[in-house]
Amino acid sequence: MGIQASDSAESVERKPPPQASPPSQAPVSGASLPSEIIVGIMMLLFAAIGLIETFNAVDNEMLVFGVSLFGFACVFIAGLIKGRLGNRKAARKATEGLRHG
Amino acid sequence: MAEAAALHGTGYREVVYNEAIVKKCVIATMFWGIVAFSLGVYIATELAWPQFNLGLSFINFGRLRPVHTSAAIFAFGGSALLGTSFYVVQRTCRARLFGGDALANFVFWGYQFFIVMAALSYVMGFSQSQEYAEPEWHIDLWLTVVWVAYAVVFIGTVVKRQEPHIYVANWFYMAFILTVAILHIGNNIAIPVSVFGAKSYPVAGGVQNALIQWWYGHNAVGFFLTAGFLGMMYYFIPKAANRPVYSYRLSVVHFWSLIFLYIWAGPHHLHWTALPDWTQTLGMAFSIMLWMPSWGGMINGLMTLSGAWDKLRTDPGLRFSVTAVGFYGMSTFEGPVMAIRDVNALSHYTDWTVGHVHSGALGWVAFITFGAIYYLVPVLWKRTGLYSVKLAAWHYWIATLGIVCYISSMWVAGIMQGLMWRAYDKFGFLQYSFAESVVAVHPYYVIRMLGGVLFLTGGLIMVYNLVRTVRSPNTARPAILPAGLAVAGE
Repeated sequence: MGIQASDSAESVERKPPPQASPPSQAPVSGASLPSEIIVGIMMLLFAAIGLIETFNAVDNEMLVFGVSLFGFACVFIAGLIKGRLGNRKAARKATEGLRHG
Repeated sequence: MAEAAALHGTGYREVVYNEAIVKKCVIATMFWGIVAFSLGVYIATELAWPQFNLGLSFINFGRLRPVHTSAAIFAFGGSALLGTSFYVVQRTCRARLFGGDALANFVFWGYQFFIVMAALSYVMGFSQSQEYAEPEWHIDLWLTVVWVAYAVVFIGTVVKRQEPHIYVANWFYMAFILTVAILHIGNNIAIPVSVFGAKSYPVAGGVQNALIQWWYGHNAVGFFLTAGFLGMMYYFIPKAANRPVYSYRLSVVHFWSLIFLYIWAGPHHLHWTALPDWTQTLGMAFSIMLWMPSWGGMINGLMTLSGAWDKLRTDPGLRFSVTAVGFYGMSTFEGPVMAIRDVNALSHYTDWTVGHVHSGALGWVAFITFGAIYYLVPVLWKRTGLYSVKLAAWHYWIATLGIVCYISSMWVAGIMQGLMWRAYDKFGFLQYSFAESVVAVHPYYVIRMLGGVLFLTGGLIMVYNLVRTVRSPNTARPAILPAGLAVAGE
């Protein structure tokens, strides 16, 4: 789908874009290492909280929550690592592709 | 997954939108919708025939009811709001979501985790016993973290926008995000018995707790189920109709008056209670004043179709959206009527309230979501259109019939209950026992359950239609060939 220039046409009037956003070169993509690091650290913290809650739980509900939180955090970290490795692999392939041809 | 904005020469940067997160939210919305509707049908069956409790504690009405309401409001409605807000803010700001994919993924998966944890805790018998705020303290804390991350992603995207103007839909989404954060924190201040145990007790007690609860409860309706979905209305109706908003000025007046008035209306849930009289009157007065912004918004939504009404015949998604706006108008008329103290004396604690809530939840929230989903699925999955417009039309009529059955049966049942409870005989004794009113409403409970079955059937048709839309080769977009290149055999 081509981007619809009318996407923001619902606004009252079209003004020139702000000076703060100069016309640029590369498209803005979603790969953001700082974001992944911050979310990864948060997940480590959640995994630790999950473990502490699991081992000290005084009722079944907290036990289930603790185990689930630990599991959630581990799976999320695995997803982050997998995504990062996938991005590297793709970048390497793209570089090799450029080199060879 | 994403698309690039080819806007060379306009001064805008090219943006690759994060559509993967929106897709996830759309799938979650459909999944939770079916879960919520199925649970609703089941607990409606339990109310009509209590034997369906089956003697099992974890599926009795008291535990499944909050699972149903949370699945409908927070899981179905919340996933729809996450998805559409992420879609709308990126396109109207011409910016990819702030914070990278990791943060957006955390918001999505963290929110789904909250829903599953809340549902599990309800069936295990843990609850704060506060309506629409049943999760205990640890789940509330988790939601707070996720919600702050959501606010960072959304507001960060607005801040880094390339468009000079913030489109009105984003104002509604921001009001929804910020106010829900304040409401959630304000209503859930509780002291846990132990940091390793689930049980907690609210800081406020008695009538103060009740007032805080209904300040939260009514504004959950006002800001979660109204403001957020109005953001959806202000984007998807103009897009589907291919018309600008009827009056942008009216939309701004709608926004500010709605958010100013809604926040005061909560006390109307506590008429004829220990709450001071003046507070009840304040809630009633603000509820009545809410008519104006609500109907201003409804008129704005409907009039956006000026010159495009013919599209209702051909676009089932738009038909859902416009009917939703009609239901929004009806519910926001009925609500202030029920907030009048003397009307409330009849309606409160009866099934009239349940009917009112469902005319809003099914007619407004679910229909505006269906309209958005029917628009989004072909766009996100790059399809030429829906697999079957006829199936979408069937969904529309079956679901509408289901709502009509539901709300009309609850009106009759509720008014009858209210009248029976207040009837006196000539000696001044109550004319009917409570059990007699329960027997009297039984047929209407059966009709309500059948209405729910119809609504669920419509939802299943939608899911089938959308799955086929994504998978069917008939809806695949033809690959665009470079100029001059011919397909073999042509």
